[in-house]
Amino acid sequence: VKLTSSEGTEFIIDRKVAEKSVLLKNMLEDVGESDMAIPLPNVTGPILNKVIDYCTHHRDDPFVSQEDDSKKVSDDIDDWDAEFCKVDQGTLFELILSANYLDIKPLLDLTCKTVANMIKGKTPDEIRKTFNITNDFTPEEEEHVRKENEWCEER
Amino acid sequence: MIQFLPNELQIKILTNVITKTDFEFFCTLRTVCKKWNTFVPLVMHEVVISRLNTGLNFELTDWNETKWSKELLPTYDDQTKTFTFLFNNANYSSKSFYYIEQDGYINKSLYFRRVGRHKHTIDFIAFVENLFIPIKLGAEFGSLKWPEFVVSNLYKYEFDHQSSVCFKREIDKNITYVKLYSFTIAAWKLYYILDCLQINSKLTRLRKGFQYFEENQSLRKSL
Repeated sequence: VKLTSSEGTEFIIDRKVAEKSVLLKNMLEDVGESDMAIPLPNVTGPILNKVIDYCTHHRDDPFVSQEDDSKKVSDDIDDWDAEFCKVDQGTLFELILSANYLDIKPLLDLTCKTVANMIKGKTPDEIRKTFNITNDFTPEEEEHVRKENEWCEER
Repeated sequence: MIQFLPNELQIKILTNVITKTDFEFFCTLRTVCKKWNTFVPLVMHEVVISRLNTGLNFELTDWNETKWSKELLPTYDDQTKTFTFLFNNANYSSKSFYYIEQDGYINKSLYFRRVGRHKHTIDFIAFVENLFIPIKLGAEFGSLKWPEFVVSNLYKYEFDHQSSVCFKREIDKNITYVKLYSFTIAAWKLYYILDCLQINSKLTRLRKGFQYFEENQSLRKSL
């Protein structure tokens, strides 16, 4: 299967690897065998390369449905996946967007869990700093919200 | 860059956060930014419903029968920061939650924990199912006098500015029936109870006004 990234870089991968993406699987089923490259205008080359790495490593994993996914509460991230996610924040969020666009549930789950781990245990201020989030509350609004959640601070 | 992710992806990330932490921590995320202030309660509501559907039971017992949260899933109101259990469900038999008026008091206290099937006692119970030793935990609300219906057939009793119970009067063949109509609890109390049931170590240092006991054993904690 041929894929073309947003800059026009071409990637050739096994159909089994491509079918880890529900989007590509459906396209391949609709189109059938074809030499035509599938354009992926929302995915850059370096990110597509990472996505292909992930799908290749997990090519033999059982299919995870949306329902299974929602029931899954395990926090476990295996060593390979943890290493895979050791990327800069920009790449991590690009991976989230690409996993969502390509409909690769396990990759989306993994990347979202990784971000969740970065949030866990941090104060709101630390979270803002980590993710460069603008605090758009006025001081009065922030105090109001904080007061509503005072029970979290009373021990 | 997280702020530029679509809302549904930010919510998905926050849903993953809450599986790794507790409500107590999760509530603090409301102050991160305005968007998260709207996302956090949405996620918390989903998780409350999910936990009440899978493993945790919110239980109301009167001397007639017991109803569980699987039938009584609460609705959340972010204005008042409360959860309301509405018992006025058409699926219930007509006898459900009816009390025949007898003397001046409907009960002395409203508890989450089971205190026995005493006459005029309503027990509100949240407990963990499928644990080796089921634990029940709840909050005290104080005494409740027999509802006095003056103008309307609904009577609301407020324990505090966030917690209340509402009764409905129905008269049939000269007999007055009083039906428990709804129960409203401060969201943080429900979060706290669910946290404690999820993280057993919290049971050793319960906040004032909360109690727990292990089934088939005596009361273990009473503050």
